Amino acid sequence: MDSLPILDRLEMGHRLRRLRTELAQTLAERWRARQQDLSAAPGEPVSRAFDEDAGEHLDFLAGAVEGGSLAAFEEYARWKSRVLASRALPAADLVQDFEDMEAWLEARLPSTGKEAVTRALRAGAQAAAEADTEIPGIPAGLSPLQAVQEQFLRVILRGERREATRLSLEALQAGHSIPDLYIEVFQESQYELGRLWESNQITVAEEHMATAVTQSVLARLYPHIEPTSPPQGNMVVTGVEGEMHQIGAHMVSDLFEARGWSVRFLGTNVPRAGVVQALAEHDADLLGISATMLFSVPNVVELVHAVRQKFGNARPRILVGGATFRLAPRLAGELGVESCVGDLRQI
Amino acid sequence: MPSILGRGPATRGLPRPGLEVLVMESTELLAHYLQTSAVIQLVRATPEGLVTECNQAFAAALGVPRSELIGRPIWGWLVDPDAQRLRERIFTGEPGLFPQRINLSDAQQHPYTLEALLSLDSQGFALIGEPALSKEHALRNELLLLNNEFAVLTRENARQNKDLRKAQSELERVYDELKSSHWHLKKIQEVLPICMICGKVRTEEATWDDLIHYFKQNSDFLSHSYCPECLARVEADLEPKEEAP
Repeated sequence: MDSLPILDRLEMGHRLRRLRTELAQTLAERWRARQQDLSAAPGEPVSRAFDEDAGEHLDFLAGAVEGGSLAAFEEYARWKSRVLASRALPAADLVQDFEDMEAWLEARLPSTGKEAVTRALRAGAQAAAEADTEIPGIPAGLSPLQAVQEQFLRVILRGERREATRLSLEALQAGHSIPDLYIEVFQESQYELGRLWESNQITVAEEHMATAVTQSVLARLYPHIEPTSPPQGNMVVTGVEGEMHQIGAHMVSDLFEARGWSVRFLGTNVPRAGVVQALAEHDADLLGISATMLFSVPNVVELVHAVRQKFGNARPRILVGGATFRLAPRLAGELGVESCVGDLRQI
Repeated sequence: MPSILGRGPATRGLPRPGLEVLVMESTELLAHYLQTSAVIQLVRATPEGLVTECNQAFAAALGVPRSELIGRPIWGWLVDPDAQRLRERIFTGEPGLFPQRINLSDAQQHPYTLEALLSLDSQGFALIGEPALSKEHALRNELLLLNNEFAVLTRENARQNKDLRKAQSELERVYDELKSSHWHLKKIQEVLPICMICGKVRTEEATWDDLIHYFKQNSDFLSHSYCPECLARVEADLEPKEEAP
């Protein structure tokens, strides 16, 4: 996988995604056979889970191949194992799924790049088999905002928007800075929400509600952002097409604003043409692209290409961030863009 | 049919003898869980139907620790009218997935029915709940997108307000400057009291100031230069003097 050029990897990712429906069917059939459930006809309810699971396996496999990162698929396998275990579903099914995928894909992929797919699936199967199903806890920090963070998490889980805003404004009045609040309270709370969902303690709906409350708090805090540096220029921040996670890019936008940039935040799942238009309208010096899911790689590549084609290589500078680039660290270099991954303190 | 938690006719009427009603502390929790997860295994049971494993959310919905459900028979929970036939089929060892309903009630004793699948394999039984791709599900995704959009618009609105406030404060500064200049202009246009002897003028603070100093202080119109007579005098001063013989 390491030696494959990016264009070959993108081609392989595209091929894998085209096999989605067929693969879902195959996994469902093999699962039924294992369950000795010969009576269920194709298309019966139980097969839908395989559409989702097989689709997810394939998306992450394609993303890992496109991103040139074996470790990315291993991380997906470990995460999926934990999610299954916390829902009382056997992680052994996952190992079997990957083995079934390898056998089935063997005859359907061209020789260029096939080895990369096989290696990723084997690494994934091994990671799933050895995965520690205990969800890693977040160590209690020494942050002076620790108490605020715990309280904030409780209120956003209850959907109490006003209380969450009040807590944040109080912390601000007590002398804490906007970056501290974003990093110590909001970012930490989002990590904890992810952990709670992963360990099956909250539902997706609860997680969405809590995130929505945090987003509304961010909007209320915006007028309190005072740049600490002289004006740096104009910036546009966007999530790529197909990307639904928005709050990270929102916080990044505000923190760049605090560093003196005039930031227009477009949200996420923004069509390429819309981003290009916003760059021209805002006369942008810098474009921030956010991608959190591994399967966003092709959309990132296309967006970078569209921007370069329209504006050339010199301006705007392009900065990429989000979990995709943490999982596929070589991607930014291959695309000739700057990378900013990890926590918000790096800004 | 996808399963969904709701009131069901199968639980109405007189309960069958031996039927056990599972009272749920929170119907919402399980409903959410089923709406937001993939296929989930609610319980696993031995071939005799005794619970060996139980899903955390299922136990939480019932408001009991998982351990309390272990060892209990699942037969009493099922409300399928053909349960007897199902049992016979199962005891013949025929594997399969059998649609079933689970008999539940909420804390107010209102009956709820959970549609599920009873799966028979070589290890025993599994009761499987399944998420519903319902209108509610689609609506939730739609709401998520709207919320994202709302957050962007709120931020953009706040950004534009901030820019507007900045522009407004700049406007106020320029206005103050203009106002001050205007006051001075008016003052200059007004008749200034001037001393008939020394030529000093009376200031707005009722002090007497040198005319030139006053204008230098209160007007941007004054600049330094030479009048023709003074220029001639200065030039004459600068010319080298002839030495006396």
